[in-house]
Amino acid sequence: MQQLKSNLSWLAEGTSFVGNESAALKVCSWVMIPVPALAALILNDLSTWWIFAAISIGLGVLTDQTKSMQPDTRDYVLSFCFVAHCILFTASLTGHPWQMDTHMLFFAALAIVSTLGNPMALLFATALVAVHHLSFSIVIPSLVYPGGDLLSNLARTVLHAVIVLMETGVLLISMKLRSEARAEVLLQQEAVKAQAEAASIAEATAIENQRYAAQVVAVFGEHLAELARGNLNCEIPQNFPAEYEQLRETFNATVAALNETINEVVAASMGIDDTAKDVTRASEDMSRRSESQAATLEETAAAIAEMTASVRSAAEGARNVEQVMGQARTEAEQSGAIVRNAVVAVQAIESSAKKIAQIINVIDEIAFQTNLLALNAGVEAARAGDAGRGFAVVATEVRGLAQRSADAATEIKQLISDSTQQVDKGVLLVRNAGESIGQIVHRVNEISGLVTNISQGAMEQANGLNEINTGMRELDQATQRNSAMVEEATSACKALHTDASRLAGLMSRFQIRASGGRMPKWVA
Amino acid sequence: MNGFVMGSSVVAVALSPLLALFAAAPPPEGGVALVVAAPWGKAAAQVAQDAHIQEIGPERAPIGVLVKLGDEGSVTRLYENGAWFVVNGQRILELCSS
Repeated sequence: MQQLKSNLSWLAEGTSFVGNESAALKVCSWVMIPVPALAALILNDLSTWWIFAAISIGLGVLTDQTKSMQPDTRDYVLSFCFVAHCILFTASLTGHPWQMDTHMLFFAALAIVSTLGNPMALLFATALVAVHHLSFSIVIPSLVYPGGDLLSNLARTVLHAVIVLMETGVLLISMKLRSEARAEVLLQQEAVKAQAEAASIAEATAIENQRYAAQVVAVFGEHLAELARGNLNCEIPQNFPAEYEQLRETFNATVAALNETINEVVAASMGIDDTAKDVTRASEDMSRRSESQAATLEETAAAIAEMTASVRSAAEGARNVEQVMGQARTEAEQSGAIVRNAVVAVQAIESSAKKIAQIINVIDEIAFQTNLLALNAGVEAARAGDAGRGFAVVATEVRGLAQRSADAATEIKQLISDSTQQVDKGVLLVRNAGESIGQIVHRVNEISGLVTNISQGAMEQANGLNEINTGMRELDQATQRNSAMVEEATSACKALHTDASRLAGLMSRFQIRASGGRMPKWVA
Repeated sequence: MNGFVMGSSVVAVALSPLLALFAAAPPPEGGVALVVAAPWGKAAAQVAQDAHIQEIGPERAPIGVLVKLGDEGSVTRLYENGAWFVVNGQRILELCSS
């Protein structure tokens, strides 16, 4: 049952398609107004044709009054009026052979009523047709089915009813399909209408917005032109429409921010200009100092190079001295050996002198003995008289020789004694000399070590000075590079000063509100 | 409103056989006819009497009487004497018998 209700919900809605459908039915009703009266008058020759005419006119008036009725009521009334026209037409041909044919009009009437698109109206019309036939079948069956009995008349009525219901069912299905199609069309029409309304509203809004936009664009154009001329006091004071108010506030905020920014840029440019001047002066001073420093470093490097050469030369000299000292030490050692040999030799001389002294003593004793012998010989020669004279002369000569030998031996002895003393002194001296030479060798060794240390120190100094010289050269190169960079920095500062001046010149075209009530002064 | 329209329409359609009766062709000569007269004018019986038409039956309705038509001009005379309708009495009899 619920399913049936759901399926027939479009019936219960009773929605009629307002407009052309009712107009078509009205036209058909107007067309049908004269038909029953004319049929009664012309075809059936009834004197009561005026009754049909009056009722038809009444139905026409009723049809005309439906325009002021509610749509569903109108559909019911129109359905009734058209079915009534059909009844009139059938009644107008009562007794006429064509009366049976007029029943075709009822089927046409249902189809025409279905054009209302109101299924309830169609069912209502069907019910009216059924009531009409039933009333005739029951009350005056001879007018509908001449010559039949009641049961056959009812059977024929049922047959007619089945046919009518079939037609009604088909019409309802058609109407349902049409209703769905119309509903879809209506939905689309409503959608289109809504879209059209939205488009219309949008168009009106667009036109209004366009007008506002034109005004806003004009105002913005003026203020942007002011801004383009450098006037930063170009805020927009007047209010805009709400949708453009944010834009105006944004523009004013932008101009204010630009104003503040330009102010800051001006101040920064002035600061940059001053700083660039200071930096330029400082760079020039630094450049001069760097140049002086480079020259000093160059001289210092040259001096250190010379000192390095001197130290290296001194180191080489010390090395030569070391070699010489080595040679001197060797020679001293050799001298020590020689002195020791000399001592040995002197000791040998002393020994020889002692041996010579012993020999001299022997010779002296020999001379003494010889003298004694000569003396004895003289004595003997004297005893021998003249014969011994010659011998006495020889003895005298031998005595003289012995005397001279003794004298010589004494002198030699004295000399040897002196020589021994001298040799002792020489030995002592040579020994002292050997000791001195040993000390000299020891000192020479110490000096050689010191000279070696000096040579090594000189070499280390030379190497250190060489490294210092290398560092000085690098320092000199770095100083020269620094000098070049300082010159570049000076040039850059001059360029910065020039750019700051040009920026100041560019900024001077802006008319700005000085922050803190102070207008910047430009020095281009 | 719709109920009234529908009810009125059904009643009107249900009474449509009356239209067929009243608007139908006049009864044939010698047939039975129902004479209906205006309630404010002459009575139907008087109309029949004035038209020289014989009244049928002992029962009378205020505005209608059954008569037996005579010659061909009986119906015309009834209308001339104030009858509203001259209905085929045979159909009325069918109506009454059904």
